[in-house]
Amino acid sequence: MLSKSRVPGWNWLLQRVTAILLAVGLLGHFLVLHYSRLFSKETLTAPASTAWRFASSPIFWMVFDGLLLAAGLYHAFNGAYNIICDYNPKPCTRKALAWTLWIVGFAAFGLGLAILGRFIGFSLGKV
Amino acid sequence: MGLMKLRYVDETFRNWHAGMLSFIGQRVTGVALVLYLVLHLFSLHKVLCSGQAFVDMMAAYNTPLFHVAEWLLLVAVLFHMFNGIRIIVADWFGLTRLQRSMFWVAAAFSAAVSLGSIPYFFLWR
Repeated sequence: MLSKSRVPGWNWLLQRVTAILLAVGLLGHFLVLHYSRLFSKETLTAPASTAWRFASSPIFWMVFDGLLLAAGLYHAFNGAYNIICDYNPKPCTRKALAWTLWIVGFAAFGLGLAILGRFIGFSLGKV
Repeated sequence: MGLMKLRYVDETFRNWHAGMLSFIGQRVTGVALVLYLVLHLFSLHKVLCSGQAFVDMMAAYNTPLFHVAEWLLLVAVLFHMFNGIRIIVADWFGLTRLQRSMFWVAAAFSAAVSLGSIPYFFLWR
């Protein structure tokens, strides 16, 4: 197992990649949600601002929000896993923890997509 | 001195240098941000109930207490981001020798943007 531990793991690389995505993406997320007057004439608040965004360029914002959600959840849950592993849990505990975090993470991703879908519904005037 | 019995608190004060402050800061803000992400998704789920439930929830967060909490969230995000950039830069560009000064640069950036945002959060909202 020694050779395996010398190779930087995928979770290490993905933690860095998602970190960079989040540094850029959160700035956009923050500006577009709280400073919409920079982009449109009137000050909009959610769900109207989200509706306006999705009406202007739906594909871009769907990819942007979906990617930000996935990157945020991965970074958060992998970070939590790394912190807990710092306290040397038993291998079986690590495994159970990893599975739990993946399942909860995917559930949270599904919930986030459902919320996003509802916001898109607002922009189409369907809700 | 009950607080000093916590290993982390004790070790932080015993090792009061850039590396330790970076480690403890990154960890504390990291845990706080994971909890915030969960709260963020939990409160946004109200939109699945009804549009009015969402608007009511947004109105409930529009209080001075939550404005302070939002500002603390910004401080946590900024520190975690600038310190995280420092970690990546030190790691990928072989600049470990500069990590101490880079920590103070990251801390200065976080402090500057945090303080600069105060009027936006509390005066011009």
